[in-house]
Amino acid sequence: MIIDGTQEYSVNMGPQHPSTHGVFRMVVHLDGEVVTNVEPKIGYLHRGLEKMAESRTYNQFVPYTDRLDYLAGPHNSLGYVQAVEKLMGIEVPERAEYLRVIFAELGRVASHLFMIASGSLDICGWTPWSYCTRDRERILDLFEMTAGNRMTLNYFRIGGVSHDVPDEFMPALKSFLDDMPEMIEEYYGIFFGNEIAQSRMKSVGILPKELAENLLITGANLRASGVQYDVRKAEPYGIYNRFNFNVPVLYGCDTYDRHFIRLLEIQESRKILQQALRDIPEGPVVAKVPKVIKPQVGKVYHRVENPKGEMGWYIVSNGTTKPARVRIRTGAFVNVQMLPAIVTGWKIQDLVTIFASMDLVLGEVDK
Amino acid sequence: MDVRREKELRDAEAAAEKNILLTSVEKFLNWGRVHSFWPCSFGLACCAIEMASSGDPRYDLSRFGYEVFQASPRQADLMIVAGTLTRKMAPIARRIYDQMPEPKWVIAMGNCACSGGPFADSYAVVPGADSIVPIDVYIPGCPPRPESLMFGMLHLKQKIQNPAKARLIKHVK
Amino acid sequence: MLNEILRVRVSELADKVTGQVEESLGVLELTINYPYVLEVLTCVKNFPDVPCDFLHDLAGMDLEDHFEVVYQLSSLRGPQRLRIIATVERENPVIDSATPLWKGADFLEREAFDMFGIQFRGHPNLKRIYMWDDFEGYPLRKDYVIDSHERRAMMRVRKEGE
Repeated sequence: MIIDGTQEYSVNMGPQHPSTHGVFRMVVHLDGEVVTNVEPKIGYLHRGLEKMAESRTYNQFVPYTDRLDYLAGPHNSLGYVQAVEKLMGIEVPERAEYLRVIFAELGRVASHLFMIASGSLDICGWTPWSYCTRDRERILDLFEMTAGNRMTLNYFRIGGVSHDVPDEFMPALKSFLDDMPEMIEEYYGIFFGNEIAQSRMKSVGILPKELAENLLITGANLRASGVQYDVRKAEPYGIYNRFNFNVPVLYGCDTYDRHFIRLLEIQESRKILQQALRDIPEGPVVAKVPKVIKPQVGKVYHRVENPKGEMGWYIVSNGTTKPARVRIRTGAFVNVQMLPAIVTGWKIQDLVTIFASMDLVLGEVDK
Repeated sequence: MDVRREKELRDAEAAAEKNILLTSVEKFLNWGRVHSFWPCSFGLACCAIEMASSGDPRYDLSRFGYEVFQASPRQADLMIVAGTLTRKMAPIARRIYDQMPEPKWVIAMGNCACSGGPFADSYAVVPGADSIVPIDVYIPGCPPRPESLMFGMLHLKQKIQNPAKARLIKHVK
Repeated sequence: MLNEILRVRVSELADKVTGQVEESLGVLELTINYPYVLEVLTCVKNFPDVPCDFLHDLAGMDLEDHFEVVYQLSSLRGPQRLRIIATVERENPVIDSATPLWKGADFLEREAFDMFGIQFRGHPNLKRIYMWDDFEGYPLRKDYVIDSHERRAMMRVRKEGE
């Protein structure tokens, strides 16, 4: 029998699927091999953090923030504690500010390394995975010697950080930073310069600039579409205005650029870390804050540049020890919407690479 | 050592010289099973990252023979519930468990899978995966380190090799 | 400088739609009633010199007697920031959708619908996003009662094709 034309059908992918990086589910509509539409379905990791915040005191909620984007825990906490400090008008000691930047940027490097690693694993590149995780472990070691946990640190406090870093932290960080250029060269050689990786990713899954802005895409995905915007530069929070770094921007708008911009950002993070290591002063690490955190009635919106996109914390206080509302705007949640736009028209095997390039983490998508 | 035990050992040695080993079939199969679990890669949240880390070159889960993470539950005999099990996900978790062939075991990795952990009072979270699937080994931690996961898997190994011993420990809920 | 221009523009707009302008922690805040929301958002998006053309966040908020929909606006090309608060009735929570202006408001509005039950008129696909389809209640409302431990430990019945 000769079949004329192709048949349209839909395939369910997820929530348990190795290339969805967690419990993401999508219904893929296909015409033969070509994707005609994708419906993202989320919520399989929805834990109701916003509701839980209303029954916790301000300090009790800090550990939960680590579990939003669990690949880069410190940066989430940074956004939350800074929002509360903004609301209460707390000044943070210098040393604590520097430690926060160090941890936040280390978290960013760890997150980007994992993104490159898992992205390569999705196209069956085992070598980048083992190299990147090898180096990520060194960051986790730094976290562990300070906070005791590898991923969910619970290190930041309202008014500073919980304790000072141990003596061996700074030498270990310095040696890590010294090794970084070599690592980056290695990643370039084994993954970004690789012909197979390039032919799988170059000019695949185009996200044009106008569409990206209309879809409210933020973070590295936006910068890979040719918009040079970074909250660390545009609206510096903490002490980010003291550091000298560039905001990398790429104009390819494709899967390769969305991967490659992470590598460039790792380089910029290294610059920030080096400057922080050079300038960090001695002194106390936590400000004198009242035992019971009780902000006055008011509301605050604070934005930070998370590795996955911009994170916004909208905290409304009613004058009690518990917040009236904590709204978390996560970058990954809004970035999910670009999936149908960029994947339509590509083959189903490209779906996996395109999905990996968006760098979603389900803890942040589902809250 | 009593006389009977000594005689048994002597007999076993004599049999071994002839390359014969006597055991029960179940014991022999379990001996094989415990040295190569095929875990189903059922990652839910933060713990999934630590589960993946345990397979990377540093922790090297493959030295125990447990590194074959299978994407399909039909090819796996060990389910690691790694992360927060939400109510939306619960029927799917059960379905994955049902799809796995017998014999099968389940490890609850992390506080969330053990008891709901920090999210136990959330409207969307199942407080403990043991109400959805039967759990053999609980690994606490938020998230547990890769070493903890290995420790848990080695405990499961002991449990499978000595079913009678495992039955003695009652878990009261 | 830009802030002054923005303040002038916002207060002009506030007079037109009978809104109130406040300032909290350096951010201008415009409180309006829900029927004006699409008009205000369109106008704000096209402000000359200081366009607030990036919808950073859209969130629901429960204030016991009424709901609020909070729009956090900023721009990729300037420092201007604006917060628009639209008050919505509790009995009949309906508001115009912002999806004609920003496609990306889609998920944010679905989330507000899922959590608060606020209906967005003109939304292309207003369905629950986090919770499953036949979930009852709106979790982030203040009067939502969380299910008991036993009830949550029970496995829910999954619909085929969900």
